[in-house]
Amino acid sequence: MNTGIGTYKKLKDLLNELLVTLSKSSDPFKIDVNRYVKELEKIFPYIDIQSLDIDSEIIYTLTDIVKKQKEWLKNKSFLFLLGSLIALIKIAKMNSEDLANELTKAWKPIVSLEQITFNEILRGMNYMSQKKFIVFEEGILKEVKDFNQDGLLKDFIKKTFLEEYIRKVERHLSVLFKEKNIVEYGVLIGSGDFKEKYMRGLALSYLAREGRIILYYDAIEEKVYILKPEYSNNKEYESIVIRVS
Amino acid sequence: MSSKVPLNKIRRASRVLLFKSHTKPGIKGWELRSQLGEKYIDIVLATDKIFREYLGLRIVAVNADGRKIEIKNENKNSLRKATFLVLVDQPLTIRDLKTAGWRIDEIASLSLILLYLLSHNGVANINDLRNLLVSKISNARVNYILSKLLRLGYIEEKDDKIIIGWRSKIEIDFEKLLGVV
Repeated sequence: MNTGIGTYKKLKDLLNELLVTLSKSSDPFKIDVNRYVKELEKIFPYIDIQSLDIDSEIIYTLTDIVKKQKEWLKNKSFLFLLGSLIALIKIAKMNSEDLANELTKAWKPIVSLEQITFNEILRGMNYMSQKKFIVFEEGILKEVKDFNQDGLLKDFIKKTFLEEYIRKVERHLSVLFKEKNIVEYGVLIGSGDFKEKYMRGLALSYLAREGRIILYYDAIEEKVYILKPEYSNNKEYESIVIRVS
Repeated sequence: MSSKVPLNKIRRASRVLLFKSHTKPGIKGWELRSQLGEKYIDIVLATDKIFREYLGLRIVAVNADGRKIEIKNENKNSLRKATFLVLVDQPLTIRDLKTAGWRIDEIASLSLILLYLLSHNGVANINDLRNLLVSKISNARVNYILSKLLRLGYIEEKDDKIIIGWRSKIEIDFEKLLGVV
């Protein structure tokens, strides 16, 4: 049977627990009001004058929480209605770039790293073993003295394929740079046959790799521009995939 | 808190959290506990602090409904069942997303679909979405984009309808997208 002191202690513990939960979270729905009411119901027959104050304080706090829950719901339902309206306006009025920008502001993607499994290595080895090394068989690599990245760039690629195109592209660029400091990639690549465009693209990649031009990608316009090297502060290389079609 | 957690534990936690070991990214609380020990929550919180301060990343825990839960205040049982993930914690640019393999029309499509779903109680008919996408992007890309978003979990198919996917619930702040905050 509950004594006066026992009832007082129980009520005090209940109030403390309620206040601690309240201070930890700003969400009024974190508090299970129903549980507190049930607890109070159990204690109610034993409440005396001494415990009355504390009992009324709990009831007052619970009433306040219910009031906050009501306000929260009212606010959320308004936001939901407003949100739906804004969503429909955005759908109707925004173009694809604006829509992409809107999402970017609200997007925090998951970061994860892929692991290479033993099976993947085996699959890769299998693929490599089936490839035919045409360049070795045809003897094109005789041009290369050292088989390394620089050797490939300086000797093999340049001498074998690109020299003519590099000259052509550089001449064209120097004419265009006299008019403007920035040249659109597509203008330089031109609209000739595919092989011509492809070779010019390769020549530009070579010049960019050598640091003789800068390729700048404008993500919004989805266009690539060519700049003079003096416009770069960045000394690091960055790969850009450019589609030549 | 981080000063009490040994650095090797933080390194281990980083590996476990970042490496994808299942089809979906993320790791369950019970898996973390088995790898990091009883005090795995302290280790996760210390790792999170380092991620936030130095890497611009943060660790989140989500429950089975895809709702984010507070790692600090949630009870042990819920945390054991929760999935722990690492998210980017800084504003991104279109260029960042393009570097990660996204095209502008794909980002715009996801934005459009989410806005449509949010204004239609989270459910839409796939043909309605197709018609909506055709009004903004090239018709030839619509099916590819829809299948990509379905494959990655940004949208899901349920009873012939399209609903918001698990990944969108975790990665995208819908209130910010709607502009109501």
